Amino acid sequence: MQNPSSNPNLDELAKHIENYVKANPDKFKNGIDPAQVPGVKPVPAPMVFRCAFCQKPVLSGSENCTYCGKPTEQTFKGGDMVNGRYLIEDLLVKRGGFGTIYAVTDTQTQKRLVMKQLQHKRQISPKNRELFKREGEIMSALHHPGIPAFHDAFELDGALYLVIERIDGLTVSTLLRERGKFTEADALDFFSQALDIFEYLGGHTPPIIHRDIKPANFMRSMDGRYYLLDFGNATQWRTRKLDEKVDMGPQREFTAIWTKGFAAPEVLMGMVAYPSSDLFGLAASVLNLLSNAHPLGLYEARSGTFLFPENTCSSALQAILSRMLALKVEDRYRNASEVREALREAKLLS
Amino acid sequence: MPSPQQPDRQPVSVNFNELLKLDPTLQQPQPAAAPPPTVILACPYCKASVASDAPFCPACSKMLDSVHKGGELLHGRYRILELMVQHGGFGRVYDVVDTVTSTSYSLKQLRSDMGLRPKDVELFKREGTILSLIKHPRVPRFHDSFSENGSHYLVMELIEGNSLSMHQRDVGPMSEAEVLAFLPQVLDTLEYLHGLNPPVIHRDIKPANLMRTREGRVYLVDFGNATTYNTTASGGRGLDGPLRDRTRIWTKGLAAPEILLGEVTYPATDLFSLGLSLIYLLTNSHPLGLYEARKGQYLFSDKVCSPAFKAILERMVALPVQERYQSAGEVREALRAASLI
Repeated sequence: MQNPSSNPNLDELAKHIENYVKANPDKFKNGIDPAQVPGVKPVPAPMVFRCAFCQKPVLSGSENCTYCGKPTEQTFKGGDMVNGRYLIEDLLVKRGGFGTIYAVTDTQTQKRLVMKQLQHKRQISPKNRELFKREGEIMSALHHPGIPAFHDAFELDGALYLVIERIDGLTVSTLLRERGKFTEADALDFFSQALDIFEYLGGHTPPIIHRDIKPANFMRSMDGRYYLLDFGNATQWRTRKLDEKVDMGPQREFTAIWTKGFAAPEVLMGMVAYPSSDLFGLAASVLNLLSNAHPLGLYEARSGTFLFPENTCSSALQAILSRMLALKVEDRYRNASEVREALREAKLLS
Repeated sequence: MPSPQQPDRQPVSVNFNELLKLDPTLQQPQPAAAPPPTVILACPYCKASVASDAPFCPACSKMLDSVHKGGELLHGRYRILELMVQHGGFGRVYDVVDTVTSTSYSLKQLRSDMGLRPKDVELFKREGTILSLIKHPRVPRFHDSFSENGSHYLVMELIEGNSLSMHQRDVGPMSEAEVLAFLPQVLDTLEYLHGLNPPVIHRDIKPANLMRTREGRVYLVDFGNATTYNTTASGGRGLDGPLRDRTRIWTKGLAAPEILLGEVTYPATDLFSLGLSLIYLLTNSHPLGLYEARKGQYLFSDKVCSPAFKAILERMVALPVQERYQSAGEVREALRAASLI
């Protein structure tokens, strides 16, 4: 029997959080995040899954099915060989948003790679399967130095695998958390490299839209290059509505992955995405890096614009970011090239 | 006590055997397109893990999240008549009769099968607090709230009617005359709520939360997501500022942009959702599909309403708050000026 709560008295915990928030109002200007209160650990609810082999319920965390004795989860250990080819080095993420992530080496080419695994234990729903496959399809069509190269995708023992290039570095959100806000020069370097990637994505016919642009999805490698990750939510742009079943249809049909504060209004209010929806997310990310404040706290609802805290950046950059953050798609730059042009005109880029 | 042979496995397997006996469908092999996973939760009494659909806690054998049956007596005075809503957003709704005064009420039970986080209980209690502050003929009157056997309850006025979303599903789109017949009532309710000190913002106005009685009175229900301006709340921006509240309940397609982009609320936030609900009722197509992203506005056919009413609706659903009507009174003035009411 598991005890799901290490803190038996939840009211006490809530009081502790409240007291801490009252004592440190500066830390929570942009809203209360309990995870930032010392001594508070989010307790995930234990889950029951159905065994992939006998379909009987299994408690998450148990290694074997209680009924048929088969392993409930294929967690590989260092030294294991997968698909006769990929040698596991290390487990990177145990349970990411989309499965388990390993560092592997391709024994045929000696390349250092990352393997994403979607477990049968995680209940591969048709929707998840489709998204995972789409991520593989989209990534295999992309060849850009700022996007991890696609290597392989396969299905083995009921689990789905995606193998991509490994990037040694830190995500931009981690950098922001550890080093504090970016200088304008650093942010412009990020901005310019990201625009490079978006120019490339926009050059496809039809253009590819990432749909989940945020600092956590950018990685900075040791040599200072930025990479765009996680195409699990990407789509090819269609000029019509993304989902024809919008009218009165079941809303579960929608792919509903977005990050509040970085998602453009049309994604939230109309379930449609344009190439400039990604630029909205990019501008929100740059604003986040420059100010170290969450975009949610910077939205000024009366005028429908974003407020820039004092000394965030030069007024020229502010004007460009504000235009990217316009609520109406037609008020924004249409594509990344236009943004780069504007940056050049403002002498922010050479 | 765990048996000596299998010290770790024993309690878990016993639980699932019980579960299987209770649910015969689990014993059949099922196709690989698997059913939704059973969720395990903490028992509210002993904190042991229990499957969400188990009627008893296997450890302390107390009844969990009991679905009350007709005739049961709660809190020593409320007799259950009928279960009205089994799976509402917040829990179950029953018709009850208060045996002390012999009056019928509606009783809302906070569902605990999804796991009770402190936030859920806080929101549920806040609904009671806010309802008790509101005295308006078209808002369900608060009667009582209590906690019993680990469940939380709210007793309020019984409204006999259908929600407008049910009407929409059964009958189809509404005519402009039909909408204008009830709109002044809702504006009146909103004017009252926003005029309270501190103002109450409903934040979740949608056809499903507008109940129409047989006499044509339209009630605004479900204040589970309502909020009040509170100058002392952390993150508040003072009297003139909006309230910052990170409650993440919003209805897809009907929430105002300031809720989605900034998590702030104004009185005009309710007018936005009301405007969208009216468009939804008139056109019978979901606002998600009507949003025209290029122009940042909602596009709908001229045929569903008169040009004057359309202009008013469009101003209600403008994206920046300052471009909207600032109060329900302003909307009523505009309707009068266009001689629609």
